[in-house]
Amino acid sequence: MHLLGLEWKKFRKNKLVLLLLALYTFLMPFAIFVMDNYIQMPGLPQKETFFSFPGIWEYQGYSGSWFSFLFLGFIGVVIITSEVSNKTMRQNILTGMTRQSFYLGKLYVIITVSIWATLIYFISALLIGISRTEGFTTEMIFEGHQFAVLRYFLMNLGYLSFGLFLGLIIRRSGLAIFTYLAYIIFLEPMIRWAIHRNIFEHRSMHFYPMNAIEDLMPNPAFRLVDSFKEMTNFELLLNYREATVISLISVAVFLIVSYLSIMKKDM
Amino acid sequence: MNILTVDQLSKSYGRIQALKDLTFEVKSGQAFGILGPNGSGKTTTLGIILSILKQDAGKFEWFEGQYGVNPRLHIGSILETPNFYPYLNAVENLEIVRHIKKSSEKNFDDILDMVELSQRKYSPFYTYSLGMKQRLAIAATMVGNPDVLIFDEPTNGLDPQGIADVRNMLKMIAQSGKTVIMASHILDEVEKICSHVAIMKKGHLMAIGPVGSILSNDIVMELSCTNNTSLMEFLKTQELIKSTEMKSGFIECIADPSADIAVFSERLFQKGFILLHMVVRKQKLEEEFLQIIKES
Repeated sequence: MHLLGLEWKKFRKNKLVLLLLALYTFLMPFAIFVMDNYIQMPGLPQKETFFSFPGIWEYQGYSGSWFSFLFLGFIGVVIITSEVSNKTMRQNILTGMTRQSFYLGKLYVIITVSIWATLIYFISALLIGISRTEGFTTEMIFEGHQFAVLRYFLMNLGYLSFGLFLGLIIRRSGLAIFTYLAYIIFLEPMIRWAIHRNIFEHRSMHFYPMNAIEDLMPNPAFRLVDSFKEMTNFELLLNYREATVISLISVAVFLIVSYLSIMKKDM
Repeated sequence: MNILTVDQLSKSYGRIQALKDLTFEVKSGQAFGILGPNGSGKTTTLGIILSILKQDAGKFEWFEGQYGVNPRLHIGSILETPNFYPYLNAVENLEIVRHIKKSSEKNFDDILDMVELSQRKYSPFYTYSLGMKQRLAIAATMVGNPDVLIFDEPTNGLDPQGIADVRNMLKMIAQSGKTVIMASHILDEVEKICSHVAIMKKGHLMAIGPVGSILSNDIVMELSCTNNTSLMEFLKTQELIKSTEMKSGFIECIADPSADIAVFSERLFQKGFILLHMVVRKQKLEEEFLQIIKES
């Protein structure tokens, strides 16, 4: 459509965006093969669990989540900060775009990137699952997936909308990327574990946006830990329903604040 | 038609009042200059009427409301600096402008020829010199053939050749019948290109009207003789006298810059007017401008 076509014209030669997309597209499907070196110890899952249905959905999803976080989230930041620093956001409006259309263009980009990312995930997981599952039958594709594809899509949308949000609030690319990394890797976990937990030792410490987005495709090993929750009386992860709801709310907040930022600010 | 009406616009940045109760009109076909020193509010005014900045008070209307909320599709503008995508070339950048303007005119050759960028049209924008960037900006305003063009300090940072080129281009554009709004602190430029001018200082409108009447090289004379009434009558018959006004004790008249004072004085004598008081002031452009600016 008109707006998406415009964004394409803007970014199709942007080396950074192309690099990020290429890194995701060509590396993500294969990262999981690192686990071919896995040596099974007693009490730990067998190697086949990683590569066959239904485990492949979770493991490929978890593997992909690192790529989404690191490469795709930056795209959300860059599509805004590059336009701010080149002052082309201002020029687009001068030329005749409405602020609303400008915002929508960005929104369509992050939705499209999320769809692309999910497609790569789906195809790679499907092919790996088919080739590595013993006694494969087509029913197996649809067993036990727990809407993995939708969760993966939402997770990408989460990282991208967070990037967009930071790009608009902070407006300078270096600082925005730094904040993106610092918040996800350090700040939020610190607030949750060091502060929140000390005040309320309660499940609500998991109800944070980035944590919810991560828990859409968590490390499957942690899910095993949680199966011991009767012993420790503590759950490390959000269940998928909780993660989905909180992620949806977070994405909505990021997108709404981004919208308001574009509509209100002097350029 | 009134292309643009501005009514009591005001804007402050914190404690700094950038604009105060600005009011003016631009009519179709005018080349309207906004003249003022740096910091007078020119760019702020343009920013507000182009919806980049939000005013604190007041309103403005484009095309008498004909195009609704987004009149900018019918306006070509540059504000402050030429802003383009650095890794895209001239054609690709213009293509983006065309896309936003929803114009179907895919051929940019004419426009690029006019600004003399045809040779470098496939080089990325970041390789351009300032002059080339400025020229691309002018080209971009023409995409979609809008009826109104807005330029903010278009010759900023250019070398003398560049300045002359840009001024000629703007003059051509103004003469082609399009409405042009141009902000500048260079009075010479406004005088050459514009038909009307609004002079601003510190956010206030100091003077507004046709360029000829506000800024001129006219000679101002104060004359007085024994019979000022008949002198006045005589002056009115004189071709080179543009206007006369009776002041207390003398007549103030404005003469065309080509008038020869010596010849004029002699003619007065021959007609029997013995001058008791004669002062000749040739208002230099800059003096007049500075004078208008100083009145506060």
